Amino acid sequence: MSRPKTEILGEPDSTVLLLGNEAIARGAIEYGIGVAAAYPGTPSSEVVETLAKISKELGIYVEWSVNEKTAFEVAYAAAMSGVPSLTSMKHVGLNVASDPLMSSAYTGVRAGFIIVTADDPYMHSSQNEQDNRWYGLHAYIPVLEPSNPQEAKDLTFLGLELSERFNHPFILRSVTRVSHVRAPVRLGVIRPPRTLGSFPREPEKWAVIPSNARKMKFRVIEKWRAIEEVLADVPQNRVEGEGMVMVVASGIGYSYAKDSIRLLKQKVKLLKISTPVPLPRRLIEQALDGVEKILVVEETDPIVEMQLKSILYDMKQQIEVHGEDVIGRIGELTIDRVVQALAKLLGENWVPPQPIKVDIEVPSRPPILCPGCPHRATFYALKKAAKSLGIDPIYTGDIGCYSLGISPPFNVQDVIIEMGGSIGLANGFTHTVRDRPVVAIIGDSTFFHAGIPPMVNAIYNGSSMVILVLDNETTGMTGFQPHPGTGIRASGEQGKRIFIEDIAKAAGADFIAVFDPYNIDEAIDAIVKGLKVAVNGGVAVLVSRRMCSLLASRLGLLKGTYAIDIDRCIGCLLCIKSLACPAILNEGGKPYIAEFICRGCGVCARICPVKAVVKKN
Amino acid sequence: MKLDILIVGVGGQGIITMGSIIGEICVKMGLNVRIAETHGMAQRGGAVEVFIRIGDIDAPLIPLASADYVVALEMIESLRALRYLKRCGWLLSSNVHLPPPNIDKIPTKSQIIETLSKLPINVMLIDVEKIVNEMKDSRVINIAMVGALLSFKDVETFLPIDIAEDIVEKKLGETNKKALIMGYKQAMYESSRKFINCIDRDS
Repeated sequence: MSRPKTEILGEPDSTVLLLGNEAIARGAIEYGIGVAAAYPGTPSSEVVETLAKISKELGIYVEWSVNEKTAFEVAYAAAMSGVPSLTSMKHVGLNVASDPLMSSAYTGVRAGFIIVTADDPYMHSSQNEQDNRWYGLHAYIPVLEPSNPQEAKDLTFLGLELSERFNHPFILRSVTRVSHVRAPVRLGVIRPPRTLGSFPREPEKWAVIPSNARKMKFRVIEKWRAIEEVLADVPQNRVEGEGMVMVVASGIGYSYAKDSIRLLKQKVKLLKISTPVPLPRRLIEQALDGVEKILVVEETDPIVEMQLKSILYDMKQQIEVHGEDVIGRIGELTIDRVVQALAKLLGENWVPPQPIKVDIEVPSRPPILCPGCPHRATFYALKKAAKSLGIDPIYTGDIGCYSLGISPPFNVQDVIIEMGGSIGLANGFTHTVRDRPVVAIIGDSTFFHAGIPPMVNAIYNGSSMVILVLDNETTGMTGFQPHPGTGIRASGEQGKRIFIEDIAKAAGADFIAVFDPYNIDEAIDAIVKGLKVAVNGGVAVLVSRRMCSLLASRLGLLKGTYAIDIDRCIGCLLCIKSLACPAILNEGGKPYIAEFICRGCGVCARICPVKAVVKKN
Repeated sequence: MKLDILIVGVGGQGIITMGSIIGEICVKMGLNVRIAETHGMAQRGGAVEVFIRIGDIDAPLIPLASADYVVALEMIESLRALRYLKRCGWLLSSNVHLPPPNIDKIPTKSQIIETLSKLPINVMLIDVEKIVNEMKDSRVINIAMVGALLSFKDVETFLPIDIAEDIVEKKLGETNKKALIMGYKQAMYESSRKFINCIDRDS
């Protein structure tokens, strides 16, 4: 349930229920940003989605960029020209933007510039659980870390303010359990946005040629020390309680530490950290009084713990420090993990309540392709086409809903690494595995994001492959954001639509075909042709175009349902075995279509050997 | 004061909306609340959990064996969620049974009910199929289950049904408000559906 505009734009001092990401958006507009740009990615997408919704009312510029690097550059340039700005991405998105990121501390900015990174511990929807606070240490960019949605808003504002004060970029590190948590948030005043700037010619300030960059590096180090001094006094850093055992808790770690202390009912000193990078030395010095043991609570890597140990070493303090050794660095924090570690440090015997045992096997329920999903039809056609040629291709996969093609009965994602990796890796496999053709499977939004350079590389270097673009005319996995292939902009207005097949043609692909996967025979035919091109050393680009069925049913473009004609059905179960559609159930050896799940794509009707699936309404 | 509620079901059943409605009631009542949701990959027909914590809490996730209530929109998912339910806690389950596709060993409705009836917990089954038939709308299951939850005294104290009615009507319309009331009434008055195995004397 997304918030109506009126609540995002709610009155100062009112309290509204906001998702962490909505709170970040609100913090940015309270500060008065003029520009926001992002590429969607769970758990970050709602930040710019929210800003896009209110961009017209506020008169600010908001865009979905083609990838995180471009999004970063859009916001960075705004801040260079004196317009406060925000860019937002999931943790792995910052890898894509890391090139400009690494130089942004060198040049600095002329207005507030906040880089929101939403990390995904436990990898709910990601390929790794990297802790992006490392980027702060790596790039000399301070990191703020909220513990809940209220702080997400407040620290976004503070980050922009400090960024403007020091003319230096700031990172806000959120995690899934801040970004995707709803909580009451007390709103502040929305300042008028600053939308226009200027850019006087000062290349010595902005061009990182070696002679300039060498000078800049000195200034970066000076600023870094000055910023650390100021961060010590941030009100979101504070000491609560007294005790010989001190818990140092950063970001979301604070909320788990707080509840763990409540459960144990013991005297514990709690040092709350909202600025893990750089960890302010003065803050630590002031909190150490009377402390004999320390437990560091932070989500994922021991960033605060390492800096803390280094500070204590410099201070020649022999205090016992625990953290990663007792809590671990894998997955999300839980109260159970923190309370057990803390109990151990306090010498308390903590027996957690034991879960109720169930003596029945609960079947797993992994995510699956939705009913009517066009990817299902494409995968079916792909397998059929390969089988008809008697070949067993390598299927290089990519990031999106179609990653679910890894599961049976499809098994068409042999390797998945990163955005655009399907085509990139195919460029290598094709030279080393000569007896199997490579099929690179990539989504439409992912193709625009990171698929074009490796496609050009393949055509230029003669690296044979099939590039199969699953064009569902939206960014499906992250919640239907538009992209260049749809031509719709973040604000909802119509822009230019860019066709994938036109790009392939301009680059000189040997074979191009566009088909509708719901027309199974046409799809198989096109894929067979493409595979033959790849086997003969060429590059084939196939565009399987059909709108995402979730989106199409929401828009009323996909209607009706299908049913099984029991008299005709021979019970071969081909429909169930080869499509694994959640709408087709096995009722005592015969298929049965659950009407309330079926979206009416008709693919099962087209593959049924005895035409026993009929349109119902 | 603290109330931990876990809502589970299958991606697409409207679980996030349930969390939002309960959150709105909390804001209206001036209560602290955290609602941790499942987005992205996990929503594609997978098992979905929404953690709702109300009162004197900070952390968003409910510890194992600690939830006061588990509300399951689907019966198989009710089994998966039991690890979060405290002893003598309440399990409210709908009678919807959605087997994951292409899996051979699926516990049937009666097997699930039999299993649940032997556990040291309290169980209430809500006949949402009846509500769906009466409303002629399968999308109201989620809100009917919110209604059922609010029929419990220790929940209603914090989350009054009349406030819930106003919020549901304003945010989701008349049909959902009717479903809310039907869920509430079924849970409140058709008490023959309850099987109580356990009374927690400490609470």
